[in-house]
Amino acid sequence: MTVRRRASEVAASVAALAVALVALLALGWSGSPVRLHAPGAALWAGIAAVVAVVELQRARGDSGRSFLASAALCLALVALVEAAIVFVSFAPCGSTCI
Amino acid sequence: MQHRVSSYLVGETDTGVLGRAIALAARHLTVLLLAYGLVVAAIGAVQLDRTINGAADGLNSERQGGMFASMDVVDAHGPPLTGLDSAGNSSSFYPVALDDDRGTFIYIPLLAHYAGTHDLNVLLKWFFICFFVPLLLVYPLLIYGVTDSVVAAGAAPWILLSNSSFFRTSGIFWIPAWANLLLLPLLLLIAKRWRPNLLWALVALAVLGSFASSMRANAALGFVGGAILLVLLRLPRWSLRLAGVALIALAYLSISSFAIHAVQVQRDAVVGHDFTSPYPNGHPFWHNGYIGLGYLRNPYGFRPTDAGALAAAHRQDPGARFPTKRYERALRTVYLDTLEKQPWFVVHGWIVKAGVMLGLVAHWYPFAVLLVPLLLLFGAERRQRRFQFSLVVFAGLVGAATGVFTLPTEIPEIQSGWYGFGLFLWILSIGWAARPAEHWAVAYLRRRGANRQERLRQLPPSWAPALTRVWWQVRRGVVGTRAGLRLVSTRAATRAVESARGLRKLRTLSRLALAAAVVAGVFLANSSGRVTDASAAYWANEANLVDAASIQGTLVSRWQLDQGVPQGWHEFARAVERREGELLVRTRPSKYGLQLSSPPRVLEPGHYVVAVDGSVGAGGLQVAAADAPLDATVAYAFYSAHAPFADSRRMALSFDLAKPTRVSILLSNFSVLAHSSTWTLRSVVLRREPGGCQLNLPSAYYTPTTAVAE
Repeated sequence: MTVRRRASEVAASVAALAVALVALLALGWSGSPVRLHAPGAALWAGIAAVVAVVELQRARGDSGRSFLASAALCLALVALVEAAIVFVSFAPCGSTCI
Repeated sequence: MQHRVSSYLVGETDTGVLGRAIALAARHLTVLLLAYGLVVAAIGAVQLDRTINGAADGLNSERQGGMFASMDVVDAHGPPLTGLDSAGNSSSFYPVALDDDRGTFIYIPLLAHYAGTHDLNVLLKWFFICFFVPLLLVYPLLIYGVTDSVVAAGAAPWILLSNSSFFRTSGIFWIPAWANLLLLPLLLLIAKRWRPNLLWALVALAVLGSFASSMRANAALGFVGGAILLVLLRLPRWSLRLAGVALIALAYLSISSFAIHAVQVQRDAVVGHDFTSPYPNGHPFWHNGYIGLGYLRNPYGFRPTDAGALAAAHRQDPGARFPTKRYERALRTVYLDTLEKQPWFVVHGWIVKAGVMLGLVAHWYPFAVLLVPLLLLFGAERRQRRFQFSLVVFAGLVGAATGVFTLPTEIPEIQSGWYGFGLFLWILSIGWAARPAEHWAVAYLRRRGANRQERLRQLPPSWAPALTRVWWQVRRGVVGTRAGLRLVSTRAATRAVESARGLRKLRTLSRLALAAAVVAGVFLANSSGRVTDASAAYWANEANLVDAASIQGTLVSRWQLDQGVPQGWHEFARAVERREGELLVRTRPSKYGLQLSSPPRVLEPGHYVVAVDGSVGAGGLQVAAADAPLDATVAYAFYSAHAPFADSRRMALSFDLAKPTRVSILLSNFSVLAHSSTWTLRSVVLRREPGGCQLNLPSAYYTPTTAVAE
């Protein structure tokens, strides 16, 4: 039971990390098989950030799970910055462009 | 930190004004350094605002045109990175900055849109000030944090400000220097106070570096190299190290690659055309590499010009169009083929260019070149310094590689990163050198304070007559000064004896020899590099000699120079001498100085060729045709002493006139190092070719703006 719960907890961190990575790469990587527009990337990065923050609250400070959650949060924030650059670039163009 | 603790102790022991002042300053050092930075930043902002004129001068007309086009489209609520081509009633979008880093072509039009101005000089000036002034603000704190030296912290922002003149009017090319100047001290600060959690700070800084790199390729790559080295050295497990490296790498690519690519793809979706996939994501790499192959005079036909690269790509793949990926592939093939077939030619070019780059550091920061090797090899803290140097050296390697791969020309467009690295190293070396001296001064003041307290205890009681007290004060001063001098001289003598003992050791001697060799090597590279660079500049600019028999057409004017300077010509040379049927000219020492000019003559519209019979013995010669009333150049060509002169070859210049124009022929000095040149001249002939240009010469087409009358 404990082992299963621990595995699911780590899985949440890994999932957050994976979602953040997809949000980061799918926005601008030229070879991306799952291309997202900036709003989609921002949405997925936001979800990854929330999951990562919850995980950070629940994990012990120096554990591997905490590191994974921190990495997920970090990638999610980087993806959000990336999406923000795209949003700002098209701000004068308006909502029809984005 | 130890330094600050020592400073507090000075205050405890030395209750005099100096001791208390030092203790007070040490207690509030952070606030003081911040306030100091604020003052320097305010002065810097005012000074930069006053001194930066023509901030857009560093950008060529293509870049400026791209920015203006994008500004118009963004103002019309169109997508970024786009210009609008209007022809008649129809209009179509076209992409801008295809052969450049896209970031500035996104940010500057945005800034123009919100600022409500299209004045590129104003926009680029304030863009620079907004980035550079915060650097002045935080630099005292940052440098103190890295070096523990108050002297370096105080000097750093002024050194930054005074040395910024190299790149402050370069348009956007200051970005690699700025990235190095900001990110390298932050990296050293993180390294000094390392905790595993600071990995996230490195990732955040990598995002900032990515922002800089979106404006100028690889602007922060050196920082990323140092950050990765730090993570590999400091994180405890390999799994963590690899994860840390991956995070930093992704963060560094986030804006410069991913976001910029996303903006382009989104732009394509808006305009309905794929302007992204055929082109590289930044400015062409192999195009610049090919230009770099032509730096040195060579028999393989490589010339350091865009036209040479375009022709080479066309020869390799006739369908390759600048600046597509296909064009890049063609030039990559040419480059790698050359490396395979002529490896020594390519490697020799790299070595020579590396020497020129190294020499530039000696030219910019001679004291840093003297200090850094000594400080890395000697002193109790040399290991710490070497560690710091190993973290920042990547930035130097990236900066130097730019010049080694392309051209080591001393312009911010190429040298910005290298210059920024050198500037930071100069400030860092001041901190390294000043820190032990400051420690010694603090220790001295502590001892002086302790002695002072001891002497105060020996003073007569307060009820003693005033005269006695004055006597004691004077005596105390004299005794104190003598004791201080004795202490200093004793310490100096002790140090000298210790140093002499140390010198005997082979290890010290070998270190000294190594430092001397490095310093001498860099200074030698400076002197030889300037000559090499001058030779390369001749090679880059000089025109081909023309076979005399191929110059046809109606004779317009012939001036014989073998009998002396012809009548009507003006002479400005240092010396002119007739010798064996030739005119020997020794020019004035200037880069481009007029030496001889023909009388003006009105020429009808048509194609003309000027042929100069003679040779260049040393230096160079510029032959030019000038619109005499306007003092405007119609056409010019450069020749140097390296050209293969022969009796049957002529220095030639061709030009087309659209209207009747009053033209003078000018012979000017062309010396990159502003030295005197020597020429041997026999004649100057001006011919009109009725059938247009028959020679393999580039011909300038000139339309005068005013009418002329004979």
